[in-house]
Amino acid sequence: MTQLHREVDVVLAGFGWTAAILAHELTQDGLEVVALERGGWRDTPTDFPTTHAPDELRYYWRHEMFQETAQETQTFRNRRGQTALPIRRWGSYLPGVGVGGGGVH
Amino acid sequence: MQQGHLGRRSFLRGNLLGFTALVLPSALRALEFGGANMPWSAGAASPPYAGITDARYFAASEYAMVDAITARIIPSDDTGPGAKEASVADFIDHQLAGFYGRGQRWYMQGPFPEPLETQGYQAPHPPAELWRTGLAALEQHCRDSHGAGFAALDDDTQDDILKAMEDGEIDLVSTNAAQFFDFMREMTIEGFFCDPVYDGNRNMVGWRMVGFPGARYDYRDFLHHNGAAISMPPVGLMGRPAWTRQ
Ligand SMILES: Cc1cc2nc3c(=O)[nH]c(=O)nc-3n(C[C@H](O)[C@H](O)[C@H](O)COP(=O)(O)OP(=O)(O)OC[C@H]3O[C@@H](n4cnc5c(N)ncnc54)[C@H](O)[C@@H]3O)c2cc1C
Repeated sequence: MTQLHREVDVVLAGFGWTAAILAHELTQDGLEVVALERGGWRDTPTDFPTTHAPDELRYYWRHEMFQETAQETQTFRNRRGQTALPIRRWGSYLPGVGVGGGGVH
Repeated sequence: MQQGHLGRRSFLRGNLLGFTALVLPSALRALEFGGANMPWSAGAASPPYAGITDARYFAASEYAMVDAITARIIPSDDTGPGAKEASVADFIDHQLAGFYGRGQRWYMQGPFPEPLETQGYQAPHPPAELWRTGLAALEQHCRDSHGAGFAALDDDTQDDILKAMEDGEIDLVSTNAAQFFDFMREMTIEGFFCDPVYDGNRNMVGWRMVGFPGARYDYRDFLHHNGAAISMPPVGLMGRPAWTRQ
């Protein structure tokens, strides 16, 4: 199903740091901006309350707030000649998803 | 979510395709952040941990093994209580019964060839199944080579077996011993130092051992302690034992 949205000046794909800064600058200049974010909405009081934001297991080890490899992942190898395998569990980097993107770490 | 009058500066929220679309027209920015039409409702903070579960995974015999294994990985000794006192086996039991055990957030489809060491978790089983198959294989190994199950062996023999697993010197049926050991060690550490809300780190014994006062909101009072030890009773996400049910 196609949904037609009113025309705006700028459409940003994703709403992480980059898009948020762009949105800020562009709207400051009077442009109308829409950001399309594949993940959910987040706001400070709901998602970052000081009482449970320090939950290291939930956020750091279990990667809540980050892209789940079950949804989308990449393959990885160190060198040509090796066989790349899917990353099942994030290691050296954590792709963000949802409002705020990777910056919510 | 709040359903106010949205008008032409509407937020198209979580509708088609699961996108969150935000419209931020400049003229109304101030109003926008006044909160009236934010996709936000008061008092809706997610509870401390959505994944907490009372469910358990292990059969009684598996639980006894895990209790014995974790007690060797972090033993109780003169530095303080160990994994047993911290109820690490309970922590693992709950974790494996939940999304983590099911590998729900992980890509778990094939292929599963022999991985490089740098390629991380590549077991064909989600964590709960890795534990189940690994424990069964370890138990078989103990019976074959030592004539008794793991939990019945003495501490030194248990240590030798775990060390051999860590060094990949034991062949376990359909389980990579070194990878399984790594995973057991990792979850033992998690269960020893996690917030007690997860049923490990009982009575905050892990935190007390290292002198961690808990992830408190505000440490400004201690900015100028100049390296002196801070001795405060630890506090968890749900407070501390003296405040709440034990
Ligand atoms: C644990 C951690 C620690 C870090 N520490 C630091 C630090 O100390 N200092 C520092 O400067 N940087 C740090 N970074 C890096 C920094 O956070 C990132 O570089 C930055 O957040 C990237 O912002 P971005 O907007 O470019 O991309 P992202 O934040 O990745 O935003 C991209 C957004 O686009 C969305 N998206 C992707 N594809 C689509 C699609 N097809 N349709 C719609 N939406 C889509 C995603 O869901 C995401 O929200 C850290 C990052 C992590 C993960």
